[in-house]
Amino acid sequence: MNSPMKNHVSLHFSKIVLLVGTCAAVLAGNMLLGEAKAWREITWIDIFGEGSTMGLMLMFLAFVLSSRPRGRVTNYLAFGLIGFSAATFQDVIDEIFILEPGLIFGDLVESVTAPIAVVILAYGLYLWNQEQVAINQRLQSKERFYREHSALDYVTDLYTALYMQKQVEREIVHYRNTQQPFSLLMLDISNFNSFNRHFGDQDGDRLLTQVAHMLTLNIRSVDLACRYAGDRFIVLFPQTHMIDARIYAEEILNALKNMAFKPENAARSVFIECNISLVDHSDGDHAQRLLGTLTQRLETDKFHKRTQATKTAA
Amino acid sequence: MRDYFVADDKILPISQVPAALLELAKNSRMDIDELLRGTGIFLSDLTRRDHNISCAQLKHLIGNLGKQERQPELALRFGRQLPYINNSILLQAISNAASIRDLLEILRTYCRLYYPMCYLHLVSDSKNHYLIVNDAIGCPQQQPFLFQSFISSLITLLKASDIDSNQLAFLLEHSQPLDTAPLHTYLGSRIVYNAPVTAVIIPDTISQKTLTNASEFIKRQALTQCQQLLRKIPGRQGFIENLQRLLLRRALREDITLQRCSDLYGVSPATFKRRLKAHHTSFQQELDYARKLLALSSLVIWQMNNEETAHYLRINDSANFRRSFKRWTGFLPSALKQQLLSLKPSSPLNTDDAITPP
Repeated sequence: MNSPMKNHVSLHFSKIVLLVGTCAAVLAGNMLLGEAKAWREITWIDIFGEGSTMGLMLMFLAFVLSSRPRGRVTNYLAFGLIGFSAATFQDVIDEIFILEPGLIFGDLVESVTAPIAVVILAYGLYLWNQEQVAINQRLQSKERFYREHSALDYVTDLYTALYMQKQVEREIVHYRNTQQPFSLLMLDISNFNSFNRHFGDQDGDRLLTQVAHMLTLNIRSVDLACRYAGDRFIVLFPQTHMIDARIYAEEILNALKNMAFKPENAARSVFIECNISLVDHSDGDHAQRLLGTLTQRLETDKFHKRTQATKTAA
Repeated sequence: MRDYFVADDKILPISQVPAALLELAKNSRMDIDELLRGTGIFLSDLTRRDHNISCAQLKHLIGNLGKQERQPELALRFGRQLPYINNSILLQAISNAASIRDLLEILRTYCRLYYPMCYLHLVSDSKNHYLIVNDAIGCPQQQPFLFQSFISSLITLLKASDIDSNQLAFLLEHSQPLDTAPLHTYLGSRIVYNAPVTAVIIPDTISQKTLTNASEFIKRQALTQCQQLLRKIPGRQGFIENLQRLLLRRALREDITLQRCSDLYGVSPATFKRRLKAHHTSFQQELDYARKLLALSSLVIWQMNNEETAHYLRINDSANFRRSFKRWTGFLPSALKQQLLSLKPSSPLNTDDAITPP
């Protein structure tokens, strides 16, 4: 299985060729137009110092190419870094080759390319900033104030329970300082185990992803949805009293009830039912307790439903 | 021929636990090449017929999974699949168990076919059944993964029989993880961390529940086939399981020593020590574990007091016993009894019943 990093590198083959070509041209120019210094005349400390700058540039370039898809922003960043790498390369090899006096090749490569490359790089970074603002807008309802990629859930691309716990702690502090209310909703899918047994784990994961999409579509931009664990999701409603949270919860339930999930190997769509529980700021003074109460209420709700179903069946 | 298997014996069919684990890791977008590094398992092995790997190789694989840290609930997810990836005859017997008690008994007897890395003790008092999960092959690092996956598989089986996991309680030996959400979602809120053993506590009211659509005839047929299979396969118990069973039998009758034990295994003490080391344990650790189990059963199940338990374990006086017990479990006997008493199984309606870690 290829990692996404390997896939991204393979997208930028032409840029790698450009980098190698540019460096080869700089080397060839120096070899043709200049003369190699004697071994003793080479200042190794300069080579080490200037080589480190070039190494660092190459490392930045590797990070950019390995993590970014093709596009305008990537091109500006990559061309800027390639230009700067070529300039620092010239800086390194002019410690090895002496160019004939009067030739402007070295200065051209070193002193003209470097500022142009920096301008291109700066424009690339400006575009990157614009791009990030656009991406941040798309991450609304999935992220609040804080980014931590290691807390991302790989199935749904929502953040995990740990992230939510931190946000709830933050909200509790906020409530203490400003008396702004907040509510929490926990949601789980009824009979998810039998769904998995019936349709397989891969369809189970697809279902979780769809539920995550529906959740983020049906909450406000200030709210935050996270995956708790298994088939459980959790939503934070800041500045919201329980009475309003209950209405939002009903709306989410309605949306999920009408979601037609299409398993890979089934002719008919599957409709799911969900269980929910709610708490607000008054139910606990720390995140663990609030989440504990929320879980407990969800279990109680499920227990009631099961008992009801058994009685109806009897 | 010895009737136990050691960590390097190739007894695990690659098409069962290892293949399912790799499939799950692949679906979790993990790097399979990275996972297989150093395990001696190759991707091509997965398609070979009747290819087996050793417990040491599986241990290495689980260790590599732990390094990736992509998915804290991987063990629990894997456990959900476990009942369906093993021997189908055993699953037939389990599905036709007459009651939950019967189901637990089948699991205990045929754990070698179900999950060869673990073995089970099933003890009962008047109110509860205690299913104690133990390490059959000596893998302290991988124990949380193995035990959590086993417990999750048991919950899957019980849920299929309409049992709510919130009616059970769980003792886990490891400390409370930073992210408790996966364990609370899969196991419910009745979890005790830093417990002296890993166990599932099943109230008697549940265990007596008769299971619908169970056929005694089909179960018996399936169990006969399981017995035949057990006779055929090499190594009926893991080395640590075998040693533990021997210690549990002998520890009450004699002061068993490393010398005596190595004699019973027909090897020199040095070889025996080496073998224990290869299973990441020592004789003292194993003896302590066996005595801990005996002490727990006498205190909790038979409700003996400290003096009686000390006498039962051939320990001179109760002060010595209390000291030893603290060393084995981290608790004094009275504190542990108190903790277990708080585990009154109940319906999830009692909201104040959440168990706080010690």
